[in-house]
Amino acid sequence: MDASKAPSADGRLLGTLTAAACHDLMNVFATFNQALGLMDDCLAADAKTTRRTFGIKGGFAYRERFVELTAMLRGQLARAVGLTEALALAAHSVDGQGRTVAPPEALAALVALAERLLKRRKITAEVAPSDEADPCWPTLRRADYLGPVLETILACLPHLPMGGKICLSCRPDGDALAVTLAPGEGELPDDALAAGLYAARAAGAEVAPGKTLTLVFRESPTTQPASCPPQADGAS
Amino acid sequence: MRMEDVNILLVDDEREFTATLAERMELRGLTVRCVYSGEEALKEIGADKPDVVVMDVMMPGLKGLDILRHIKATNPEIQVILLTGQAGTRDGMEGMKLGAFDYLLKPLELDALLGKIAEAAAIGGKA
Repeated sequence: MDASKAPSADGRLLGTLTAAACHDLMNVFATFNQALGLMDDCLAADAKTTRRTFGIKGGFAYRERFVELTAMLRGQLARAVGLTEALALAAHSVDGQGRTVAPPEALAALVALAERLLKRRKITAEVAPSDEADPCWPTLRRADYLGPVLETILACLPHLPMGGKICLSCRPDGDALAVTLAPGEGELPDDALAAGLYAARAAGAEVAPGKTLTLVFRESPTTQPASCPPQADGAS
Repeated sequence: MRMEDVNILLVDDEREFTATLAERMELRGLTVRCVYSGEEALKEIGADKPDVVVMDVMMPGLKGLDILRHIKATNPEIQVILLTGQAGTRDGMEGMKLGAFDYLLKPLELDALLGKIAEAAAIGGKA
């Protein structure tokens, strides 16, 4: 690993604390999930009692509303779980713990976490799956590419049309990782391209020339080459 | 042997989670005991050997993997299902190497857990 890119003590601390909090949040969500399941079980038991007693017992008056509310809570719970998983993954990118993930999954987590920032301009983002069936990803720390990609997206945002869409894709390029940021349709506006180019370079990424922004991240000379098929990242 | 005859031990320091999960399993007619620490789990296993242990990996005191090692050394016929968060997938894989039947990620879907318990119990000759 390039020592100059090693996370600071502050970064590692924040990563460790965030990941620990995410772990506990998952325990909270697991309890919510079981409690919601138990509510469903109680409703089912009530319906059974009503049927069995021909309506003499049971018959919860607010059943339909209750079912709607539990469904809503399940949806919100799924959202919270998704965000927490993404946050844990990001936190582990600086503390060097957690599971190994391929770059498309790491980018998807980044997009999930940045959703609130993108919404300011009503912009949506998606990450394309890899073209190759089992790509051999270079060994890179997540933090080495997620940070510059986020800074590039944020720099482009003010120059993108409201309500637009951005697409992220990535592929191995020899011993490097190439991450492309493109609009949902057409080409990036010139000022978005310029702002993104500047931000990417300032964040330490190489940028391949073209009408899309393709950021290139190379393994540091001291990094051992990745062995296939294990996925890239993480192993810092 | 039916699922109702499978002796299940839940081990997790998250009391509300464990109690709620146990209540849902009991509503389905399963026999479930709950303990809230690794130390309690070892005592409970010594007192009344379960068929299947469902256990969180990350607990204060004795960790799930430590208990798993103990179980596999003393009662290898007991099947162990580990519960872990996404970030704990490595622990789950480590647990499989140590002889765990499988691992599941939290938050947990009850049907997925019941399916795993049935599979685990079948290996041990139950269900």
